[in-house]
Amino acid sequence: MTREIGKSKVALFTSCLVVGITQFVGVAPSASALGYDAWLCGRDNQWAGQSTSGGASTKETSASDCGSVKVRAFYKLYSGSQTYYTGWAASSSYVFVNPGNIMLGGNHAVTSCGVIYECGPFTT
Amino acid sequence: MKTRIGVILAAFAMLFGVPAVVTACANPQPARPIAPARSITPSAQPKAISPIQSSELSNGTVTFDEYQAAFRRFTACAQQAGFNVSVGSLQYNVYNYRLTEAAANSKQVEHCYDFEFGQVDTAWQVANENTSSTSVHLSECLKKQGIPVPSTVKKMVELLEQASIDPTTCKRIG
Repeated sequence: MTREIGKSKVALFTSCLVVGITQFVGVAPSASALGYDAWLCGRDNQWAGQSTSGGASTKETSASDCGSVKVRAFYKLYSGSQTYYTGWAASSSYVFVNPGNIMLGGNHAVTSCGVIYECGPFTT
Repeated sequence: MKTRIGVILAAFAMLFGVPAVVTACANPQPARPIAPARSITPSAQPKAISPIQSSELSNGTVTFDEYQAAFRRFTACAQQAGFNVSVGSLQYNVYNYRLTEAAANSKQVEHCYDFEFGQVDTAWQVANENTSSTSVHLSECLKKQGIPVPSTVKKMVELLEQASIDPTTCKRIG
C-alpha cells in the first residue's frame, strides 16, 4: 500500500512536471504568437492589426477612416538575442523586420476620430 | 512529507500552469481574415505635449529640422529616464531606431515619446509616406510579383491586397 501511494505520488509529480514544462515552453514568445486581431475604438472606429514573420501592420477597417494608426514590431536579432522594439511607424502603418530577424509580434494603436484620444496599444 | 509535496505541486502549478493558461487565453490563435472587433474605450485624457512640440506643429507643417530636433529631445528624455535609444542611420529621412524591451514598456519612455516627439513623428512620416522605406519595400514586392508600381503607398497597398499578397511577407495569402 505504502509502495503504491509512493508510486502514485511519483507518477503525479512526474505528470505535473511534464505538463508544467510543456506549458512553460508555451509561455516563451514564439512565432506562433503572430496573428490577426480586430478592435473597435470608441463607438465607430473599427481597426485591425496583424503581425507576420516579415513585419506588422495596423489599419482602420471602418468606412469612416478618420483616426490615425500606428504600429511597431518586436523581434529578436537572432535566436537567443534579447528582444528589441522598432520605432512607431505612423503613416502607412507597415513595419518590416530585416531578413534573418525573428518576429515575435506587433503593437498596434489608433486614435479615435478627433485625434485626441488613443486606443491601444494592443499586441498581435 | 505530504504537505511538502503539496506545496511543491502548488508552487509548480502557480509558476507554470497559471501563467501558461492565462497567456494561452490572452493570445488565442487568431482566425484570419476576419476577427470580431472588441469594443475599447479610448484613453480618457488627451496626451500632453511639450510647448516646443506644440509650436513645431502649429503651422500645420513639420520641417526636417523640427523632426530631427524633436527626435533628439525624445532620446535625451529617454536617456534621462535611464534608457538608451539605439539609433541607426536615417532611412529615407526617418530615424531607424530600436528600443530594448524594458525601454519599450517603460511608462517614462512612452511619456518622452508622446511629450517630445510623437505628433511631430506622425506628421513627418505621413507627409513623407511616398518616399519612405515602406514605399521602397512595397515597390520591391510589387516588382517581384510582376505588378506595375504606382506612385503612392496607399495605391501600392491596394494593389497588393487585390492580388491577395501580404505586404509584410510579399507572399500570397492562404
